[in-house]
Amino acid sequence: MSTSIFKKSVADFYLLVILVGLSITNIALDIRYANSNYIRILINDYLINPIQYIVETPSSFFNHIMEEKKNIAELNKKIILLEKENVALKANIQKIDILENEITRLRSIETKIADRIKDIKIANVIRRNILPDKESIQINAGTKDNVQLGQTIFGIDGLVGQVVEVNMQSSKVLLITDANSNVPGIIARTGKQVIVKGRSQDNMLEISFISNDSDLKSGDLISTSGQAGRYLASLKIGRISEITKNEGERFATVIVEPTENINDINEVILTFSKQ
Amino acid sequence: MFTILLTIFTGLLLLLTTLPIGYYAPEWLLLINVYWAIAIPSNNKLFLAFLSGFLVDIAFAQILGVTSLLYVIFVYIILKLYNSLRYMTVTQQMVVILFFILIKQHIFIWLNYILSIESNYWSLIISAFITAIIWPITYYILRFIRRKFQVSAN
Repeated sequence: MSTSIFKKSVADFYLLVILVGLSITNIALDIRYANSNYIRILINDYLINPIQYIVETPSSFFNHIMEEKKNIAELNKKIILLEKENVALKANIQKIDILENEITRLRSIETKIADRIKDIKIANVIRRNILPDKESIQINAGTKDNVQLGQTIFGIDGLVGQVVEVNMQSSKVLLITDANSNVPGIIARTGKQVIVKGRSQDNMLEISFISNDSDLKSGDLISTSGQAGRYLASLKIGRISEITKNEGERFATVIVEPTENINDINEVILTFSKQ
Repeated sequence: MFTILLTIFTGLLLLLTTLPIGYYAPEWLLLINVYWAIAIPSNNKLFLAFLSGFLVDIAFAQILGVTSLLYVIFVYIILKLYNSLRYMTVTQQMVVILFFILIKQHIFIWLNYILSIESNYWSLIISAFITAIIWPITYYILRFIRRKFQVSAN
């Protein structure tokens, strides 16, 4: 009798050792081969996402009803507004062409002008706050649309974030307003290289490690520099909204307001053209 | 076994419902695992814990295996202690589980530190308390299910 109890407890222990070993192997493999984890993709696509859809159905149903209430007159008004804007934009594009030529002519030194953005795909935002404790969104484009890990995601007004997880049908995007995201940027007026960091608490950005005596003005435009190959070059990030010089300390606190309305964004742009 | 898997699935549903509040959310799957480990102790509860941890890792987009490691150890300890846990009142069980979860959260933070991932300390601690508060509800609901469907096989 006592031997059987002994055997049972040993079997228990071996099972624990095996499962713990399996978990540690999993951790090691996941860190080593983060980009090609098919188990994650499979479970995400066929189990987690459908359940999430079921869970969200009641609230999205009511939202849908509320949206239907928008009447046709409002939509017509919007069409007229958009047409006007379209004409204005077309006119402006001509100006930009001329300006671009002028700049290349003026700067006889070798200048790197980012390729025009072409080969565009527009993706919709499905969910927000998809990663716990992180500012993030989920979009409806995945490996079937050739989305890649680390790809830049932007909107019509500026940078939005980068892809951190790719599944078959969808992918997860870490926004630039998250505290974990650092974007290499450039101040358009002075050409100074800066690093723009997210501030999760108020959906603003800040420039980290910029000295008190540097040349900054409220309203300065900051764009991506394309350094380190992380983000596409020459996309708008934001405008400086507040500068606080900390007397007695080395660095100033500079708050940047993103140009893109990141909180309410519905459609994002992906590009597949090479830099 | 089918009923047990169904409760795990319900736990997953609850987990995804509370996903938007991040790490403040209670650990539904852990509680369900603990209940079945106390009610019907057997070796395959360890597999169940491993599977649940895996699902949590994928839902939270963490590194695969961290949570399954912690859940397997947690359920192993519960399987060793089920005799004494059965003689306790639900409130006493709640206190024991609270302390275990607090230790578990600290190991989780430590693991994250090793893997150089930032973790939000206070949200994890508050989550432990919320999980412990939810234990009596989970206990009575799952006991009702176990009696109603007469789950006795492992």
